[in-house]
Amino acid sequence: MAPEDEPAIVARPTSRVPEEPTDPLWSQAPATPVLLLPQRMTTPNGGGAVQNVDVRALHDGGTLAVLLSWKSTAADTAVGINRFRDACAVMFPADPDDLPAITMGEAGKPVVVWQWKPDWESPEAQETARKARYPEYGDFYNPANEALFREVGDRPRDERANVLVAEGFGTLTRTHDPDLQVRSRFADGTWHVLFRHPMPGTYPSIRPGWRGAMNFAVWDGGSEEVGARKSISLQWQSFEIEATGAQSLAAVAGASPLALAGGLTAAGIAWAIRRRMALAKETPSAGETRAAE
Amino acid sequence: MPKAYNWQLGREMDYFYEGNRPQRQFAMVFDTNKCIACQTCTIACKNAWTSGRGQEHMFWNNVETKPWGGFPLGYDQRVLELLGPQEWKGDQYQGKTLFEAAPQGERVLGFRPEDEDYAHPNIGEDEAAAIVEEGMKVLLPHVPWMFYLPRICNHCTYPACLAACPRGSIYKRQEDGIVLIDQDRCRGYRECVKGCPYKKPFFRTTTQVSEKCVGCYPLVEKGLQPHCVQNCIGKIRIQGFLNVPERSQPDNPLDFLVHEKKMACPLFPQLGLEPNVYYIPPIHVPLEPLVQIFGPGAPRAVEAYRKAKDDPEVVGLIQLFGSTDRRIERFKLTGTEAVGYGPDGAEVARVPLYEPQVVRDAFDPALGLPRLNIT
Repeated sequence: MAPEDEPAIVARPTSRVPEEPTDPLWSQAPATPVLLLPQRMTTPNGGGAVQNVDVRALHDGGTLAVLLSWKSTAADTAVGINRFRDACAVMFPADPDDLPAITMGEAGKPVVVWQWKPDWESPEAQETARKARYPEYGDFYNPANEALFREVGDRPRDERANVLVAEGFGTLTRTHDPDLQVRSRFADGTWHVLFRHPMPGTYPSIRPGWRGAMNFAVWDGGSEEVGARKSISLQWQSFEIEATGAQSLAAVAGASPLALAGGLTAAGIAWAIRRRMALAKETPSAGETRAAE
Repeated sequence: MPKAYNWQLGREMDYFYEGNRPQRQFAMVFDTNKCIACQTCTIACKNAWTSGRGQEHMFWNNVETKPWGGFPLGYDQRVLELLGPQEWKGDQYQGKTLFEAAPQGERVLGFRPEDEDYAHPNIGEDEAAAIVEEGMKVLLPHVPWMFYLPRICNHCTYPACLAACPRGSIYKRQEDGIVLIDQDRCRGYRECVKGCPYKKPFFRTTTQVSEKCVGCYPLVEKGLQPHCVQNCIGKIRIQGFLNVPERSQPDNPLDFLVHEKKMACPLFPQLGLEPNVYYIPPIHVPLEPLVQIFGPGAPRAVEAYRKAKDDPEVVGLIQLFGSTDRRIERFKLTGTEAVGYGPDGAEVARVPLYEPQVVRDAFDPALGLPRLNIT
């Protein structure tokens, strides 16, 4: 990226990182308003229900915390056949020095995405709500099917949020990263969603002193926003994790191996995605044709 | 938008991807004249595939009563209403398909049903289109008409579910044309649920991804017919592979009925998906609704079926329906029998064209009793 003198969003150092989105400590972090627009780069188009998201960030040298806040007419938390939940995501470039287009990455230039959904954060509550909405039938269920369905589906297994990687529209792929923590609160018509990730992180290679960029997406479930139907920030927002004096020395000392590790991981994931896509397209063994993703 | 040739419309049409036909195309023929809506197919499918938590509302196979029934509720009327009145000129479709009528920023024109729309899978059962008034005579076609419409996924040549998925999580198998949702790649956006006019992809709330009829591909791979075909009490179904009209093989049961005799028609061909389940239309129903449901070929199909009893090849093939669990890829007549041959060319079924018929006297002198059943 072209380094700017004043990054749009700065994570300032603090003695401790808040564990709650409503912690008074957040008043120390300036809010950066980010404009959101409906997604119209790929079909299906959609979004537009949420026009702004406020972004705050703090760190204590060992953990980065990013807080997203946006106004929502209601807290949509449940999933039904034609019922969608609110959600948000933060997107980072794998390589902050070589930003991909904002099309969720490009071939060879992956992005990493932290995504929050209310039912992922509290699956127990969602399961209770689901059972209330969809009655179940005593001994109707086939045990073999029961065992199978636990293995498939789009929801985190052990985590409460998902870390995903992508190299362009339609390539978003789940990874396993139990280090990502989320906590949300809906109050006064506003969602506050807090992401916390320990540093140094390998992917993205966040650490004190890191200068990169972020992008944001918000889905309003009540407006049937899901998948590509979302409000997005149309430009990378420059982002810096401010180094403290001591940390900055440590960062300098550890910079090369960390950067190397980060770069390797990024390259590795990029390779894995390309391989998967290639396999999906060819699949001579299974003889399947897959539409272009 | 890329173009694809849809022979059911007699023209090229817009499709999200380039037209790419599989090596072989999974297809079925259902004889609606013989369906009694016993739902054995529905239960066979349910037991095999959708007996899990979160699948309560799913019927990959269902049987509905036309005109009022539909699963999910009013799926067909809602799509037809969205599309608006369209025209055929002979066998060529002049109107817009769901792909061509897609609004700006969308790939397909569609709608997503509500939970409640799945709650009554057999609503309207046995209800006729009009009230049976006192003094009415049974005339053909029936004035108060109804018929049973069994449905599975059409494993379309141009699937709207596949076009609608922004992730490419849906694929059409090159070896048999079966359309599947990759349960690993699906993220539950429900674009397929919205895009498919037949509403055969279903969202599962427990896994948060969508599922659909898999054409019983593990059976098809072994040369067997799907569960709904094997278990059909009325023997109304046959599954096989269908060629395009130019490559029709008269001894292929599917080609014979669809292309040679033009006795079986696709379901709502005007929507543009080139669906691959073909229906022998009910011959007692007025032609107007049949044309709307089965396309302009419906009157020809009704006419052909009325003459079927005089055509030994048709009689033989219809006798082969439901005669074996194995897939019949070729058939021929040998004197008084019809013989079906499997994928490896071996005989899999042999049936008489006509069952021997005996007519007995109405009175049994040996027992001194009148007979209730004399044929």
